[in-house]
Amino acid sequence: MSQQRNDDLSTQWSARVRARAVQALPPDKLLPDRQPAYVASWIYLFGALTMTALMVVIATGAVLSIFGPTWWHTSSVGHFVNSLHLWSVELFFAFMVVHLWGKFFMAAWRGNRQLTWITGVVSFVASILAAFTGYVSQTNFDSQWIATQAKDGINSTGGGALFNVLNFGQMLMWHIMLLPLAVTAIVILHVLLVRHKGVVPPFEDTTEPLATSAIGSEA
Amino acid sequence: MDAIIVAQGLIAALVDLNGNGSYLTWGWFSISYGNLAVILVMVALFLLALVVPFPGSKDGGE
Repeated sequence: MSQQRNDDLSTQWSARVRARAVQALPPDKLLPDRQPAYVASWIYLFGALTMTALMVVIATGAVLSIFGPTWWHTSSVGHFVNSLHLWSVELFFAFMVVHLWGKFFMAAWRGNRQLTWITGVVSFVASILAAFTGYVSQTNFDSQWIATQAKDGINSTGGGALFNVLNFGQMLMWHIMLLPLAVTAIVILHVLLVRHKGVVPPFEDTTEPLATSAIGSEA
Repeated sequence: MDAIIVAQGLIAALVDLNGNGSYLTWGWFSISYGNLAVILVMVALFLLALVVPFPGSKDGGE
């Protein structure tokens, strides 16, 4: 490639964005096939388990969106997909909390990883909102009970007019549009930050994460 | 099909989801047995993840 061509490309914003992205996350860092030896512990699996559960949540939620409430309340397949959606959410939260405990006791914000920690916290809060709007969108007596109880609580914060838990349409839209987008976007940012900064090393290990002896492709 | 009905009966006998919930109450502290069971399973999972050796690790998961 000639110098003239390089100069032309450097004036394009898309070329500059690509250059910066590749510099921050070169392919071997974005999708590594080796991890530091200390990653060989079950506690490091819970982040990936959380994401796997999230994928099942999104896939089953998409199926529920296609067929709607009558289907998930009255047909056996609908009941099954509805249950998969509920139980994948339960597993999502259980895995996420164990992941949180593990990272808290590792002090995983060390080594300039504050933003990784903060995006994790924000995704946790966004997930709670997503789960809450899901519980009030079940279209059954349980969701009515939850919504009427939550109404008083949210009114007491002063936000009851903007975020009206008795407005089924609003809750459903938050649940299937805004919050899934928010959770997915924050989780992607969280994972990219983990790739960029590397997995936090144990307290006693002061060497750089990717410079230590490595294990195989699965970590 | 019979096996499924038997399995459903066994699960229903262990956990009655139709009745009122059971609660552990200790002074001001109150928690349903269902929530307590989930929290205990998560704590057990966390502890096991720390101590159970990871397959393929050289030093038994440390």
